[in-house]
Amino acid sequence: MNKRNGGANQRWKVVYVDKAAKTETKGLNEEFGFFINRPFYIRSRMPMERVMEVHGAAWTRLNRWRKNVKSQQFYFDEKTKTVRSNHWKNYAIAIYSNGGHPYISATSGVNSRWW
Amino acid sequence: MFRYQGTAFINDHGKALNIDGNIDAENRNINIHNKHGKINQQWDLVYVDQYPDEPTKGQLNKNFGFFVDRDFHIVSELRSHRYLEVFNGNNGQQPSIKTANGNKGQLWWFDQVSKTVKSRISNRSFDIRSSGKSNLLQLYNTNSGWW
Repeated sequence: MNKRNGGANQRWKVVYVDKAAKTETKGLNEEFGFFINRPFYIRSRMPMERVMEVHGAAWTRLNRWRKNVKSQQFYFDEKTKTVRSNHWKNYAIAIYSNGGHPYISATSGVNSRWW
Repeated sequence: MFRYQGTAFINDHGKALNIDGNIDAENRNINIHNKHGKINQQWDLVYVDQYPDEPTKGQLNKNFGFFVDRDFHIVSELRSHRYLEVFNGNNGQQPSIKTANGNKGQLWWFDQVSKTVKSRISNRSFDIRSSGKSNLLQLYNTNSGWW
């Protein structure tokens, strides 16, 4: 509890369950720029056109594209608004060490925070 | 949380997916950096069901301008039209121009996996000496580094 300040952190709206919007399971999320639950590659525009790959459910590295390698595939999860590994599906891409580190990794502690 | 905007994967703090050190090499770390928009922060989002198959042997790689795994000569446009040749293709060997002689040292091919031009005599690749800092061309073990 705190004194009223009218900020966004004190503003609420009541949404009745029967009126609540359902979480979309497909289609384009225009705000985030991804199709929901549709696997994709993140391909560099550098000359070799390598793609991002998750290594050992942790670090993200640049690697040559290989067909049907799921650790090179990602998808957008509408519920958490995170980009997740298509190989380790409960792992999302996050900035390492709660945003205090320049590296990104795939983490199972999906928390949707903006570091 | 990241958004895909233009060619960048970016979050609300303006941090973008970034290839560490701007080096296009296998296993290079991908990190996060303030958005600057240079090529090491530019990405295509390509859906798996739309990803084009890579060209196979005999097919043209349009991006690189070579037919895959198809032997070719590299012929000078100087008056004598000599061929680029290596003697045995050892590491560090520099190509030179020679009259066409039918030797394997004058045969080259494009490798789709490493995206390099290789000598048929040793299967080593074109490389720029001193990790790209020299003006000397050599053959070397394939590393796909793009200097």
